[in-house]
Amino acid sequence: MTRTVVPFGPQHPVLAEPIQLELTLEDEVVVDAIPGLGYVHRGIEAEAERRPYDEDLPLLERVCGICSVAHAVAYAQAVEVLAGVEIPRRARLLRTFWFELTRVHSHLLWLGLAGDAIGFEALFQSCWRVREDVLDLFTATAGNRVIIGVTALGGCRRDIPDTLQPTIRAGLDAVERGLAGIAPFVLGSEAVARRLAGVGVIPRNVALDLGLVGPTARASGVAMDVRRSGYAAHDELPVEPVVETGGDALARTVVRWREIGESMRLCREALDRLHRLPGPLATRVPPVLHGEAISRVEAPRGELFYYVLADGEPHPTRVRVRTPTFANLAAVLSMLPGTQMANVPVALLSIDPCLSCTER
Amino acid sequence: MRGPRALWQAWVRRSRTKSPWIVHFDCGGCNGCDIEILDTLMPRFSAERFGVINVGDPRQGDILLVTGPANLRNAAVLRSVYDQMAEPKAVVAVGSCAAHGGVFRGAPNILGGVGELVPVDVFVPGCPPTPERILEGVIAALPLLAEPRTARQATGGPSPMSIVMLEPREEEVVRVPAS
Amino acid sequence: MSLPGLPNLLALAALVAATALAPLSVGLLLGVDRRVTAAMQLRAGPPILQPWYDLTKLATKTSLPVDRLAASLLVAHVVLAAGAVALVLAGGDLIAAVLVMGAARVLFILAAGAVESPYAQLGASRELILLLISEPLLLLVAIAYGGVAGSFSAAAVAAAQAPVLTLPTLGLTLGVLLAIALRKSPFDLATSHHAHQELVKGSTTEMAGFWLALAEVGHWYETAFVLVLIALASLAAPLVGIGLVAATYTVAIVADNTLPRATWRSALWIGWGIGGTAAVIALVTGRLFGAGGL
Repeated sequence: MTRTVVPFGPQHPVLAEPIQLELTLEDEVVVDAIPGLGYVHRGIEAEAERRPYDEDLPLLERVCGICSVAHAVAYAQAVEVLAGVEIPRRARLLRTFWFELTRVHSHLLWLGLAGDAIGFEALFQSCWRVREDVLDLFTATAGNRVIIGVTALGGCRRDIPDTLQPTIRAGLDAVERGLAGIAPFVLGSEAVARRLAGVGVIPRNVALDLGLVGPTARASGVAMDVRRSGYAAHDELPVEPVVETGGDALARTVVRWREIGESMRLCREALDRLHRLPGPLATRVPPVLHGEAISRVEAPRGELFYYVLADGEPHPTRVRVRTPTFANLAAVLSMLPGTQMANVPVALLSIDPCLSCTER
Repeated sequence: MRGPRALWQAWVRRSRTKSPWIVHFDCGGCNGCDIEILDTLMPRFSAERFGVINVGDPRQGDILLVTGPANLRNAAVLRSVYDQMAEPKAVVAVGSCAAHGGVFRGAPNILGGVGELVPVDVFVPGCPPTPERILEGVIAALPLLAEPRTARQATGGPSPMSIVMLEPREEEVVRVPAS
Repeated sequence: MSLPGLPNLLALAALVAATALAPLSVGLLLGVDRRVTAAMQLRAGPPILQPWYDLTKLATKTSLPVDRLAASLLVAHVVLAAGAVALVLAGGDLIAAVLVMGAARVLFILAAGAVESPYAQLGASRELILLLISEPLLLLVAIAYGGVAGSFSAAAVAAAQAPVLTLPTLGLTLGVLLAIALRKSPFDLATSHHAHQELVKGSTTEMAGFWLALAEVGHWYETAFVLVLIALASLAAPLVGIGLVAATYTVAIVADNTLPRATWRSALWIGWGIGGTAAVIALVTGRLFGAGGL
């Protein structure tokens, strides 16, 4: 049987980001996949070691344009540990609100791209149409659609005044109406389920061996969710991990879809608690710090880990980021051999890869 | 009364400016601009009404939308994507990074703006620019597609460098209802 | 052989004009298609003339270096495809026309496979699968027409009483053929206008500018061929033909917008299952109740 080598990427229209996969095909079945990385490497970690702590925040927010809030919160938490400060309750609730809203927009974005990858253009369009309503909420509360810059060291930069709450609630209602509208095409659609089922299967033990994180791990039956560690406002707003056992692209879709509902609930509860809650927005963080700290958050794609080392200089000595996609990319390479060429984009997308996070 | 030749030329110019097929190239950006570019194809912004199709193949594209700061690894790839496109073509640099490196300017792997590598016709500012602005950037590039670059320079057609700079819109301003 | 008289020259001119206009009207149809698809996705679509704009733009792009073999194959592909349509319009033999169209599409597949790009080659092999589905169906349709009219000549079929009316399920086969010609779901596996699929642009990956325009014209002729076959069967009752095209479009657009892209195996089974069964039923009923037998 003849073997063909197909260069998948670095610029492939299924993904907005450059990644190269050198696929060796036998007929239309993948027998080998070699990734080529580094196309979006910017050297952010090195650059962060040259800038003051507060100026690193806008830089690290731009590690990823999708889950920018996750990076900001993770970095701010590490710095707050170094400074030994406790952030106000209002700021913790605000962080949770924007963080969970980010998860909703990120999952909808992914769902649309997944629809696109299986050739279901209408699903792509309608998911992104609902996502627009989420972005409207970002615009209403933070002034920008995507990178919102609401996090500050020691708290939050922006507030959601009580007078804005009715507008936001109306916006959340609009998002929920939109979600109800597309639900029949996601979980209710036999054709979509058939197309996704059995693609990119990762059994539970493999998921544990590879150290997978986030929805990819939860879809393989691993009940892990960093939000249970109680960061931001999750000590008062607990989260139950959404777990599926299928381990395939369908299970990952179901996990993300159910997480959208969970995040909408958390947003509403955070808003309830913010109502008439007095208190400052941020605690002061000194410009010079000592020691080392780690911080973990549950980004939309899984556990995001930050390590910050401070040596008494006005800038960090080391900032290390471990992104969820870095952990999950191993899963793609283990699931590709044996996959039909037509399913390669589906398998690759099913872990929701974010390369600008991974390569920084 | 215009002759058939003039009519045909008018039709060709019209066709060229009404069929901008887009090649999107992420030169090292953070995903923000890239997602907003895809967003222009969505129902709210509906870029297809201008004839926009997002093609994956540089050989078939007319407008190169570049996002992100130029980094070392992508420099050769960007150059080759640009060279593969046939005239008439235009380059739109989307976002602050593509203009001058943005927040990443000075980072170890960054060369600066994409203007260092390819001739940029339109700069769209913003971090990230809204889909409306990206669409405006594309529309600003349309007259440049009427004829190939060499013919454009010979006839003194539209300037090869026109910069799109827009004021913030009403809906982009945060409004807090009075208490 | 005597010199052609004036009426013959006029007929020839009319034939050439009709053959030239056929793909242009398909372009309009595709423009409507893009508008309707956009409306289904709550978007404002492009102008109706968009396919013409696209074609003109592609044809007048400055040329890029091109594979010579692929280029000559593409030219031959368009000439043969136009020839197949002209043959039917001139009242010629249907079986011959179907075979000429098949040859045209084989040339296109060779052109797509002649280049280095693995995407184009995979696209070409999928194009071959589409040919595998549609060619037997086209032959069955021609045989069914012949069964009703008692002759395979297009002129005889046109003169006979609307075969679509006598052969009820043949409309289904023609619908499947139209969906294949338009590369509608589930037959959109080889190439697509929106390049968001694993093969990027599939069979047309390496084509650009003028050569992509040629491939597009060939594709329009392929669609025109099916439309002309439908028209032939409904000359006596044009509304049936228009209704058939409209119904096929409705089903295809709804399927396109509510279903994911199928794999080539399911496309094969859907194509042969529906189209083939319908054609065989039509053949049998035509044999039993038709005006003439074979």
